[in-house]
Amino acid sequence: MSRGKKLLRNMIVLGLLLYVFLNRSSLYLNPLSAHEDSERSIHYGPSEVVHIENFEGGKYVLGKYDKWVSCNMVSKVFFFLWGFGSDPTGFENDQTKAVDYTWAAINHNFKLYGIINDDRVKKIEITLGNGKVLIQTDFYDDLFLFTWRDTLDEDWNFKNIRGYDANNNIIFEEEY
Amino acid sequence: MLMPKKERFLEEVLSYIKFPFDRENIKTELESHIVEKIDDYMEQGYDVEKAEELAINDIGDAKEIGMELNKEHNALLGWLWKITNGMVVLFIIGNLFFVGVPFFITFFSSSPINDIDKSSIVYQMDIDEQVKLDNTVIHFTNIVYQDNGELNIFFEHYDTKLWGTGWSLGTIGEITDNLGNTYRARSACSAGIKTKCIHSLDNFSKKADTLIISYDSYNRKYKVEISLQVGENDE
Repeated sequence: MSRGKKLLRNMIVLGLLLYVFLNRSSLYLNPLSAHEDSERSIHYGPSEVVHIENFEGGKYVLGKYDKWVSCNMVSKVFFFLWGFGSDPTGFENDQTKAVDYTWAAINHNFKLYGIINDDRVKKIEITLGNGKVLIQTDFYDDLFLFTWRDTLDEDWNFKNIRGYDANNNIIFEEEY
Repeated sequence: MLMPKKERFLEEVLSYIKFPFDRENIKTELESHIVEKIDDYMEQGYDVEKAEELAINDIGDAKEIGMELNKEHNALLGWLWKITNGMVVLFIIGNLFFVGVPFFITFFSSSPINDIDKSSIVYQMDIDEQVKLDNTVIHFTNIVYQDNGELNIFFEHYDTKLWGTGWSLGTIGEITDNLGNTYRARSACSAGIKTKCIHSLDNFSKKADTLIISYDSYNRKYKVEISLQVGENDE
């Protein structure tokens, strides 16, 4: 067998082995496939992906599914593959609140995400334990997402959220 | 027998071969060809030194031969072939772990029903109820009621994609009986392609004649109702 044919044989065998490996190892060639399989295997969704944001080690996938809002994490594995992260399911939106949200911290990566139920809300502001204030005015449809990383010397936990209207009046406020 | 000209000639030819893994084969082939010619000349009456010189002259210019052989033994193709050989081996090892181990566990793990103390069984029922959640098939196989009031639900689940993996099955749903009692289950599952599980319910009502498993989460729903042998355990 010529070397060219041997190479072709190897490529075909590799393709088959890679297919089996990716399927059995829960690793994916792109982050959205990891996200979709993550949701399906936990029996949630499929959610409508509204926004994708990078973080150190992976991506946040912000989405809506029926009455739930989710921000799944998918992790980068071996430099170019993607795997399940955490938090694939969402919280149920309480439409009686002007803003509904949740937050989580996983391995120094913090996220706070939610939905704006009151159209008057034009700005979301959150305050952290160290006094740092994060503001968002450009939303993803009616969803918002704040992400940050902590350091050991400060309190980076979420403390307070406010929703403001166009005239900077507080429409929604909640302490944690 | 020392043949310095032959060695020099071979060394020069090989210096043009860029794919190092082919050099040994080329050297062996070329050397046997030269030795054959040397033998021929020696049979014709030439001494070793002259025979070696004539044989090498017959073969040709070392540079030309080296460059020609280098073209035939394409280094890029050679390296690709070598690298893909290594990758095939690596993926076979990886797949043995990711595919082989779960298959092994699936075929060799015993059902948790075998762990139940036979003398404690009040009754045992074989059931065949199957439900589906997305790609996950859940197959309820047995009910075992024990004399300590514990009701055990046995089931298997697997992914219809066969190789499919993902989050483990968190819950089979809310477990109640026809009398309105709700139960919390202690669960244990094996690993593998087909996962074998047991859910144990403490203090299951002796008067209940139906076990109800209802799943309702994120727009997925199912309800399994299993008639129990109430007469036999109702003392």
